[in-house]
Amino acid sequence: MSAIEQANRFTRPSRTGGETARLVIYLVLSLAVLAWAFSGLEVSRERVLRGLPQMASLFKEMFFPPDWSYTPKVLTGLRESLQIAALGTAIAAVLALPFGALAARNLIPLRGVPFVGKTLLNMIRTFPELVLALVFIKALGPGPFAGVLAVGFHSIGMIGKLYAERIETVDKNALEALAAAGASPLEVFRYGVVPEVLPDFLSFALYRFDLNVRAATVLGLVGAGGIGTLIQFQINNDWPKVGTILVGIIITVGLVDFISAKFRSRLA
Amino acid sequence: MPKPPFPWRGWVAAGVVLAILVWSAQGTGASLKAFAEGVPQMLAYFQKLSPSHKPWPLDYLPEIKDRLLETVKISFAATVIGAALALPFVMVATRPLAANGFVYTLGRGFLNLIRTIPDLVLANILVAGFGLGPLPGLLALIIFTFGVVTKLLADTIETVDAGPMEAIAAAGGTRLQRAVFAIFPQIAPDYIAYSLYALEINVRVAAVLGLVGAGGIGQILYRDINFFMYSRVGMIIAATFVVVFLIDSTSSWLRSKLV
Repeated sequence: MSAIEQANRFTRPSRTGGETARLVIYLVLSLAVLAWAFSGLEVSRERVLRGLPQMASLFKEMFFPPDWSYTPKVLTGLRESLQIAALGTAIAAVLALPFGALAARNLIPLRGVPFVGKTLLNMIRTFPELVLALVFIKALGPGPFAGVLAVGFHSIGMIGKLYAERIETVDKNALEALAAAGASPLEVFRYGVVPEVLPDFLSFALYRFDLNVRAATVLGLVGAGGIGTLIQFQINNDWPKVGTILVGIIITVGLVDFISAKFRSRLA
Repeated sequence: MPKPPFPWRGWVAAGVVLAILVWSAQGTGASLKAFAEGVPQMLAYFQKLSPSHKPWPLDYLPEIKDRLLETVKISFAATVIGAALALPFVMVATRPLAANGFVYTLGRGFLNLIRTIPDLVLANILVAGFGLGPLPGLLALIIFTFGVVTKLLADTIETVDAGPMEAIAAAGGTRLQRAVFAIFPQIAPDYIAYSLYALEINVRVAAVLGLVGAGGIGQILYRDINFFMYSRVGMIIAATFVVVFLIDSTSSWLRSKLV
């Protein structure tokens, strides 16, 4: 027996047949999924090989060097994306409150209501932002307002679910104590639930803001405002400008991620 | 005395947030008035999409099915490939397995960089290089999946029990042996859960890839919506909703069983 086998045996005595079997099942399943997925999908090796040098030359055009004279426009586009994300997140963070409360099992004594609430939240989440944006554009006309509504509506799904799961972990005894002291259900919510969950709720909203900044950079591809509008404009047209846009997006998303993570770690 | 729920710093923060929101509303032309005026327009639009306005053309179903299948195939293939690529790469992006601090910083840096590029922007650029069709969409989602799964996996590995790894290292095991025998068995369920999580995102993105010409159901949605084919649009949205909802619920149910 080699040293490694010995070490392995010592620390992981349970390298059993079950584990290997599971690994084999996973591998077979993955290969089956791949085989099925590639059947009839218009993807060929020749196209990959033809595309790679093309991508390389695009890359060179975009970044060596980017067109820095385009920076003021990029900043305006990024500002609009950030505004869409901020407003959309805020709308969702507020509208998700009643949904979250209804979907929490420990707040609503009726068993069916939380289930309906959770299903509703999942259904809201199902519509991709861009599909919503397309529909809102057709109904309201193009522009960032359609983007705000798309981001706001879609985000309710995830924020509401996180709210509900957080409310479900609230200490039950404290709520019962408040109720025993004569607090009304609304007072129980205000003094028993809100102070405990508020920091986490803010943290969820900040996390969703991260995702929404990313989403708000692509809304413009369909006409719903933000930096995506410029991408749509310059792609296949002026690649060094696309390079500037990409640099702007990468820096903005990176910064927002960083700042949001800092805030969230302080809230926790 | 319990701590007051709103110390003064909270009020300052609330004021700053409020100022940002007012600024954002001005910048985006959003207002309650605009919303109130928009609601009837939206209702009228939804009315046109519904089958009660005009019966849905059922002979359009085969095309919807083909395109939705393409969306599902793109997302499944991208998930499997992207998650598979994550396994070797995670070796340089996590502290316990990276050869040294320099490799680790480089690996994490690369990971953070590709994770900042929005999926559809990437798809849009790849369309320019690889041509219209599912290929650029597939590639964009592979890169996205790779980024998400590697990141989550790298974070998880930094929290696992170091005992088995130290034992193998003490016995002279290489980094690869440490990864395969000490780390991977511990994170196998997480790995599958993260892959499923990526799948849930991928299905949604694959549904809109067609808006930039990268294959899937989005392609006919974009066409029909711009040609005002209301009944077709209603059908496409309903069918997409059902498929995404089913895959999403199944996947998150599986994940809840795993961890």
